[in-house]
Amino acid sequence: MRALLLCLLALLACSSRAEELPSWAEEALRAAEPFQVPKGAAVWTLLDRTRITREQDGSWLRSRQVVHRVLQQRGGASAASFTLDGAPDSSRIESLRGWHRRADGGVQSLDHKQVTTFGELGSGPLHLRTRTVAGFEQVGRGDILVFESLEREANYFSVTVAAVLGDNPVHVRRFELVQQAQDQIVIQPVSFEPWGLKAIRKPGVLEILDVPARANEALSPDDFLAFPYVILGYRGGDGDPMASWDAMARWYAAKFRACAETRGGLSAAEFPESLSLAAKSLADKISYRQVYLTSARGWEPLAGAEVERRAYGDCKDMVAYLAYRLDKLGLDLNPALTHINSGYDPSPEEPVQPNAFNHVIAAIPLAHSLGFAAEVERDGRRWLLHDPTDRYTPLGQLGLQLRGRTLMICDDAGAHWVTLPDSAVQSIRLDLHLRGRIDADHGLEGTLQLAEHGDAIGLRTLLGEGSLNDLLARLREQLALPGVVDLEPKLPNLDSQGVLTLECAVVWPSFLRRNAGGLKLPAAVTGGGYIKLETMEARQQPVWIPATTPTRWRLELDLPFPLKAIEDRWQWQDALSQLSWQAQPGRTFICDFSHERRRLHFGPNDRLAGLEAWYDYVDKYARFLINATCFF
Amino acid sequence: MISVLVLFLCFGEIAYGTPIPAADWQYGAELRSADAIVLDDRTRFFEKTIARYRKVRVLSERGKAAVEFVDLTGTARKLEGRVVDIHGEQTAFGQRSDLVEILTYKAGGDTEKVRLLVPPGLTRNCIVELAWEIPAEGAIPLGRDEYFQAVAEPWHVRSKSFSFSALRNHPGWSLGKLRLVSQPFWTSANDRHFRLERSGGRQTVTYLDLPGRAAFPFGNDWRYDGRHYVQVVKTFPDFGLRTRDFWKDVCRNYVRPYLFDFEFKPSPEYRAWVEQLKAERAGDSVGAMGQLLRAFRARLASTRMPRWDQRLGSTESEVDPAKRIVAAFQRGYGDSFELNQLFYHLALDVGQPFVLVFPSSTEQWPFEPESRQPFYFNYNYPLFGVKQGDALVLFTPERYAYSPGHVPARFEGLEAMVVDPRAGWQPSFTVLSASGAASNRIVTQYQTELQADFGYSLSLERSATGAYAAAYRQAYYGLPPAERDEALAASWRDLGVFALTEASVAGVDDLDAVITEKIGLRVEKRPLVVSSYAFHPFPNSVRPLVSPHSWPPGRDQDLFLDFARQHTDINTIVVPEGWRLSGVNDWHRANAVGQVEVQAVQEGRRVTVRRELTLSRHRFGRAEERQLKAFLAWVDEAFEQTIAFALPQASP
Repeated sequence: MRALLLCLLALLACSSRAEELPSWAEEALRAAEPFQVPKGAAVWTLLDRTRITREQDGSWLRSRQVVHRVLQQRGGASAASFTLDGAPDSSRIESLRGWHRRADGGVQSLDHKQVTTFGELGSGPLHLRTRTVAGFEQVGRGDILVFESLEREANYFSVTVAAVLGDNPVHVRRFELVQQAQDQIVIQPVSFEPWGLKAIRKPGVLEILDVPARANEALSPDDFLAFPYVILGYRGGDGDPMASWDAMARWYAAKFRACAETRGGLSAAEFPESLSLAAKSLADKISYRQVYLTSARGWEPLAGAEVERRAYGDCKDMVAYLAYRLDKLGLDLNPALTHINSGYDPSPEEPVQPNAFNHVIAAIPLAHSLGFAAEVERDGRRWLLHDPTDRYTPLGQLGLQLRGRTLMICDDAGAHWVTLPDSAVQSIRLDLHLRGRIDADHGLEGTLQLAEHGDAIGLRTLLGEGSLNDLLARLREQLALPGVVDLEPKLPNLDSQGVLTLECAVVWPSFLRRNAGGLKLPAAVTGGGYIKLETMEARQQPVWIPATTPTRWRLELDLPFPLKAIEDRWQWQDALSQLSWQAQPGRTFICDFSHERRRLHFGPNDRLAGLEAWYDYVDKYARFLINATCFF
Repeated sequence: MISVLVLFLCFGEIAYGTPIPAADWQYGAELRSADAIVLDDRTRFFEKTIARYRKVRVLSERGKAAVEFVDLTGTARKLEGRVVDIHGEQTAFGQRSDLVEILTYKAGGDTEKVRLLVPPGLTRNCIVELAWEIPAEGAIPLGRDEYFQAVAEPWHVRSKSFSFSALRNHPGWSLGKLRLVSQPFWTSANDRHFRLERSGGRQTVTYLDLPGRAAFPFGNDWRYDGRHYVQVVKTFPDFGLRTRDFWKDVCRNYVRPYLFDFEFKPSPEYRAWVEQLKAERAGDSVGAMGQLLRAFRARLASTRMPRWDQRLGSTESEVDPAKRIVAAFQRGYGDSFELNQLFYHLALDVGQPFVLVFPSSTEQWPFEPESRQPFYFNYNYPLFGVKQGDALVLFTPERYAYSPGHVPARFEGLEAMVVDPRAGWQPSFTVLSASGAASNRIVTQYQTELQADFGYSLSLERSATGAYAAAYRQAYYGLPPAERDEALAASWRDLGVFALTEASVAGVDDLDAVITEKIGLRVEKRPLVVSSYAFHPFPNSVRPLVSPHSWPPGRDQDLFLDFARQHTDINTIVVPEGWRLSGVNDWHRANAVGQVEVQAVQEGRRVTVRRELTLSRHRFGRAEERQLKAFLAWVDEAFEQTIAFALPQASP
């Protein structure tokens, strides 16, 4: 409440009106004058300056100064607003000021009525983070927008990370850290070289000139850590988790134990039964919910007993609950940090920073192998890896989200880095068998049988969550099945191997579609329709090609007329993908088709190779579609 | 009666430690696929509080959503509750950590928060009881103008009741000399699902055995069978008792004196403008209204949709509405309120015949005169109607994207109140007509020259009317001409590798003109190794409808599409010598929902491909769902359809 009051007073303080821009903004305008305006940009940020001072109590004062020039009318709305993200327990806006100089020369200063703070309320994580937006209206071409803010922050770690590329090109991007007597400051640019960024370094200052805007391109990396960024902050003393990966691992092992209220230093497991019981208890009782009422909850789990009371928790809470259960049995558990849900993968070679990980799983020390697939060995020790968040994957195996991922197992000795072998992760596949009769209007009536291996598209999880409707919706989404297709399911079955089978009656209007003077099979079966890319020369970003689910189709169709394609067989196999098509033409059309594309990343220096690989794939697919899946 | 009394005595208190009755565990055995069942939900309205009690059976992981993250509003207090799992284990809740307070927004002096309940101890087979209350005045939550609760939920409801006591007047709510009181309103059904009881000065409505709500595509949250809701609203207690008299009093004693006929002291410039407009009046009433609206928009800019070269300032300097519209005229622009008011006075002063039309919309519950809710309509934003025979031609002065005679489709085909200001403000009720497919057209003319190396040059001209023109105008009006062209070019650049030779937009600044887009491009295409060459004749065409992913069975409501429409695409293609159009390309399908037709004809080196799509209406009965799905399948097919050419010899 006190923080909110202070924040309000600070915002009220900014209601004075001014007739001219502050001198630092005028200076930035003058400095940019000799330079050419970036081509095609709607807004040019002339200055984006961040200055950080560490206070006696360890908190940071972060000041920011921004100057935008609106080059095109369409850029007015984005230049007009300035955003500050915060949280009530870890940040406070000390002041926020803004000026809008219109093209005709009139200057308006920011009024407190033009400032709004929103909570982030959605269906996902529940947290108290806020977003404060200051904005001017009626901003247009030729206008200058200036913002200045001062925030006080209580950072969880001694360093933080700032992305460099944004929506607008930036003439001068400047980071400054004020050095007090005992401080050891950190300003570390990462991945600048492949992007050709020009940086000037001085003591306590990193200035980057002519930063390009981040282009809107297909197949671009889905994580900001794949782009240039800067690590900023102050080295802590002994025990600073950011000193090294080993230091971070030691710190987290101790922090986790303290929060989860477990003892540590216990025995390695010798028998599978107790582990199975603990994992089953967790899967039965604890649901995944992310409720963060403090910023520290991003790293700190709840005590195991509290997780049990709540019967919910996030990934680290679930691992804490498992640790709590095993602790009662005298068994040890180490937290293992990793990164999921994006293409980024952490590495011990990268500089230490707090955004490398976004997920925690359990590494259970083993006295010897218990025969589980998800066992790993490192530094002379053996662990069983288990991801409690993935509650429908049985103990001993890991789910798709961890395929090929790198983990940092944390214990008192330091970091144990492990890259998961494919054998530790459940193999995935989707088998589909479509049988039926095509009528004169090209509609299909028949049955679709599917077998999902390894929760390939998440059907097993959705079945566990109790909703057949959600399961069908996921199936439609994954197959890009037209909504007009009616699916009438029978009850699904899950066998002891975790294979889910389901049979649906299918009514599929316009199953065969007129195309190229003939007919074609639907894209839901054959795939295709791939993204076309911009011209190769202009490509800015690395090329990250996502994987597809390995899928096998068998079609058995009775037709009122025979189907015959140009080719009955088609296949290829290369580093990116494999495809096999084998058809038996006629009035009873039978076909076996399989396709799989693997994940491939091409870095900033391999952009052209990435584009070539994608073009080659799209081209091959187009040839396959016209030659094998169209009937004349 | 005894059981009801006991129920009330226990109300708002959780009987911790007592077992859940067996009947609650046994209820709904036939609802085996349900994720949750609302066993009991009771809301009691008092002068100063609204108390709520819920008992919910959770039957699956997904069903936990029936009791998790429940928005209790930021003012909720006295929360208590318990989770009892199937084995009888009880977890009580109400701790601070179980109720998360989240800021919704803070702006100026206003702060709004919500409180979300995250109950501990939930299992996949449990019963949850919870109770809380929120502060109110006159049974309306503090700071709100009304209370609203939809009765049906995504889950099956066994019983949901609302209990009201007699409510008092609230002097603080007066509007000038008009008194206001709060009044409950509920939808009812004369069947076994509904019960009304009166006892001890309270009346209680109960809804029983309501099936779970499914989300239907093209559905409407407000208009379906069994759409029940309960409200407490403010109303005028001194207005006529009969419905007709009540609305007459609303229009004559509230809307007219308070919202429209305030003293307006126009400037000499305004008077001169009125005289000029009177002199220029021509044509019938509808034509004259269109002419008046064009003149109005030419003179006054809108802060809601300023043209790129109109740098408008703030409109908030005056509070008095009469002074606001005088100021708006003087400065040459206004916000929606000011523009509507000014147009109202202008039309009266010029002598233009019109009626004020207060519409309901698809984003609002249906209007029922008998509900006597005086604040149902947003009186500040009426449509203006001009009679043409039996029809009413509608105008929306402040929505500059809409040409005269067009209004947003969310008002079409729905209930409305009509008032003639020149005929004593006597209200009448009507259903507005809906525009036909021909009103909302997109026509795209392509010209293509295909080359033997599979490259081609293509140009197109696209024109839009009605709702499409409004959407285009909204997107382009604020941009300078060069940026409009650039925006159009950008929408094409993402499609693939080609060189744009032209991108231009016309007809935007004239608020009455047909908007056209022109594109020219050239493609250097890599050949495919096939014996024929397939070509998509209508690249980047505007898709009339996107087929939804899911169509749950058991539809219980009409289908609401935004507007009827017609799409015509024609490509005239010149092909190299010897190329022949392959196979059969022509087809035509039609049903009550619409029709799709594709034709391709070759004459020498000229091939003409034509695709015509018509969605006949914007609203369909639930029985027409299958026909709409068939239509959507045809649309998909027509949009994917390529044509192919047999080549004189195998391609390189």
